Parts: sequence; C-alpha cells; structure tokens
Amino acid sequence: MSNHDVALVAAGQSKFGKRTEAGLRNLVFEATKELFLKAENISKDDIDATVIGVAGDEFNGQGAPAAVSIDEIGLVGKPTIRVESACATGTAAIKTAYGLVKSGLHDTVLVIGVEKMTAVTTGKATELMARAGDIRWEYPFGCTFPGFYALLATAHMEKYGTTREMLSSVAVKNHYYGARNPKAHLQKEVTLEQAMNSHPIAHPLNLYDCSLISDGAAAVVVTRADLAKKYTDTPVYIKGIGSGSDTMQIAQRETLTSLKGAKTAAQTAYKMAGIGPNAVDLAEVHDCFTIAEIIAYEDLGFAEPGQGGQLALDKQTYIGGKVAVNVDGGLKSKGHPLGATGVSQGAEIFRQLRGEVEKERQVPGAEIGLSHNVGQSGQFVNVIIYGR
Amino acid sequence: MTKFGYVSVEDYVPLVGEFAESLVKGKIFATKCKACGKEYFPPREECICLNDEMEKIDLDTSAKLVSYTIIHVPPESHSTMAPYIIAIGEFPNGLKTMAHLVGVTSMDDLKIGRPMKLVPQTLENERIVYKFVPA
Ligand SMILES: [Zn+2]
Repeated sequence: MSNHDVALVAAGQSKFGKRTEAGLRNLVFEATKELFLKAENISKDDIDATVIGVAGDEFNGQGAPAAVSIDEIGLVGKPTIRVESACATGTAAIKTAYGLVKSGLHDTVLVIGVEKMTAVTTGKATELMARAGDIRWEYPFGCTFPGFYALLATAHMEKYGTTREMLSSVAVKNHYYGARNPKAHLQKEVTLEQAMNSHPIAHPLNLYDCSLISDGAAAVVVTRADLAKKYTDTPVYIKGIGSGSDTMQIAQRETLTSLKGAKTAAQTAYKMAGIGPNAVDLAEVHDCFTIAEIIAYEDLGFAEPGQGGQLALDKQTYIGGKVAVNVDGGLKSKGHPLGATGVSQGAEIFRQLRGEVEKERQVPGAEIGLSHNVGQSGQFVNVIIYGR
Repeated sequence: MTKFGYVSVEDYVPLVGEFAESLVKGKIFATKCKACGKEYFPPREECICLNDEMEKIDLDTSAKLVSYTIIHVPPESHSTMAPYIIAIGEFPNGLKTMAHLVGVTSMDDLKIGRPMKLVPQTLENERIVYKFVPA
C-alpha cells in the first residue's frame, strides 16, 4: 500500500466556548450532526466503528465517555474505543483510526474528540491540569500548566532574546483569525498593547499568552482511500504521521527551548509524506501558550532555532506570509477543549484544503496542511500531514 | 510521619517517607543504580535499566538556576501562597529538579545561572519540602 491509503471524507465541529447549556452528550451530538449534514454521500450506516478522544473524566464527572458518546448518536452495537494522550488526545484518536483502517480491521471509522471542561471552576480546572505534572515531584510545588510553559518561555527568552512583543504578536494574530471564525470561543481581536499588558498568570506569561478553558467537540470520518471517492469527490488524504515523547518531569529535559518529541514527530511525518516544511501551506499548531507556537515554528522547521519569535513579529505566519498558522484562531482564540483540539485541527485542515472556510481566513489554493498537537508540556506529540 | 511537599495526592510510598524523614534530619539524598550507576534526584526506587537495587547517595546541594517562573494564578491547592517562584536548578552532577526559590527580593536576583542551594524547609501540619535559596 502507498502512503496515501487512508483518507478523511467528512468533518464537523461544535461551537467552542463556555457552553453552560451543553453537556458532553450535547457537544458530541452537535459535532456529529454537522458532520453528516455537511457530508456529501455518507450516512451513519457507513460507519463501522468509533474512536472517542477524551482527555479527562474529572472535568465533568462522567466516566466511560465513549459509551455515552455512541449512546447519544445511535451507534451503540458498533465497536468503540476511548483514547487519551492528555492535550494530544485528538490526534491520538485520528492516529488510532488510521491504524484501524490501514490494518484492515475496520473500513470506515468515525473519530470524535470532546471535552466538557467548564462544569468545574477555573481554580479546579487549573488544579486538575496541574496533576498532569508528576504527582510526586512536581505537583507538590503547585506548578500550574501555564507554569510549565513559562519555564520554557524564560529559557527561550534567555537563550535567544525572544521578547514579550514576539509572544504577544502570536496572540494578536490568533485573535485576529479567531474573530473571523464563527466556531471560535473568543471572537474578539486584541491589540498588541492589550496583549502585552494583561495581568500576569505565570511570569513571563500573561492572560493573553494562555489558551482558553473551553467546551467543545469535533469529528472526522476516516476511511480507506479506495472507498473515499464513494463518499466525496474531494477526499483529504493522510500523507504522514509522526509521534514523539519526552521526560515526565520538565526539569529533566535536555533542553527547555525546544520539544524533543515534536522534532521527532515532525521529522517522521515529513519523511513519510515525502515533503519538507517548505511544502506546508497551512499549519494548525498547538498554541496552548504563545511560547508554544513560537517553539512549534522552530520544531517544525518553519524557522531556525531561536528565530520563531522573529517569524511571528514579521507577520510571516499570517495568510500570505511564509506559512499560514492557526488561521482558525488556534487554541488561543478558538479555544482548547482538550480531547477535541487535535480533531478540530484535522477538521479545519479538511475544510481549508477543500476551500470551504470563511473567505477572509481561507488560505488560497492550500494543498498541504500540517497538524501539530502536543500533550502536557511535550510528553506526547503527534504531527499529522494532510494533503489533497 | 512527616509528609513531603506543600500538598500531595498520592498514597505515601516508603521511599518518599524515608526521604521526608531524612529531610527532617537535614539530609538530602539521591539514589544510584547498583547495576548501571545512573543517579537520580529526586530519588527513585527503580532504574530505567529495569534494575531495582538502588543505593542512597548524598546530593551535592549546590545548584545553578536554569529557568524560573513566578506563579500568580495558582492551582486550588496553593491558593493562599501566590505569588511564588518555581525554579529549575542544576546540581554539579548534572541532575536537575524543580523547587520553589525563596529569599530573592528583586528581579535582579533572578539571573539565569545564579548560584543557589537546595535546603529542607519544615512546613505546618507535619510536612516538609526542599527549596532553593540564594547562595
Ligand atoms: Zn540502572
């Protein structure tokens, strides 16, 4: 089989946001309903199995979220599996579906990523995410999730002279595009001054450096390439997948200015796809914090090590620049419902490559899209390259 | 028995108990694999070479500052403590760890590479922790 034997043939997404009126079930329903409404020639009967990505049960208290999900959308009786890799859960779910399809075990798999996070207070959500640090030697010091990335930011600023303005430039861009995405959590532009002067969360990161705590779901259908044209005239193929990992304790990393797992994942995915970073038209990168997007530019080869901040400052990651990055608002403005994020990246690239997104944020003639999804502070990384 | 950390969520395992009791006596130990010689701090009961015969060794507690953050918005469990500085320090043997950095008074004291020392700090409620202090 060639590298192009698995395809995406449909995608859907719920509105991301603080969805007080919607539970986990309702979010799953919304994304799935949109997927089948927009799909050209595929129905629920074509689905052989589901893969459900949910990062944490503790946010909304529902155990066995995969069982609840398929109960909600009427796929009970068909095989299902729940996948978890912290914030990289969504791409882990797509990767799992890829394996199931490529192995021949199932032909057509519905992947749903979902997270209902706002049922708990922000303090409680911060607490739960802090527990993704080592509970023996990190959690006892009260290192928050922004704290882990702040440790990377301090090191990057020290080593390369990355500035506060560079960090905020990422926030400004992602809010600019998020304001043009009707599915985004915070559809609001911010000025550089606002972004630079918001209140501190974990020095050197401030409020506008941090992604949002959101509710949301996203869904894609993954199938065999030789069946894909039966379902749509314009499938989007999975051309490459790479993954990597890193030490549990952040202090034990060889470097704090790059994510080793992301570099490995990118190299593996590029090699499998037979392309390099210059071929990428748009990238969905894991900007859980502004520094994470800058490091992603470097790990993915869009910029040399240490030059990621300058790339942002020079507006080279807007549409029309070197590579369009997070033109749906990213985690920063679109929102970051953990399990949904990686699937939403895939759904966004699916729509972009088919020319289907809102005009002012459509990347013209996009043929190659890259999804970069990071769990915790680099312990899990998946890079998926999609192409027409 | 004295517990380690400002807070903890896991059940107390023997190694962490011994480590906390040792901290009470002012001693900070690392562990070393008897098979491959790899050293660990914070200490571990098992080595990644899959050997579980470890010996305790004294840690040279002098360290240099590798990176830091100042937590302004803390998790629920630390809600009364913010702001606090979390630092990563590197010891002479190359091992690195995370701990609070206490006793600096201005941003000028937070220069990367600055010398520090890891010391025990007794807390309320029969708890103890290690912290970095300027050296
Ligand atoms: Zn060993």
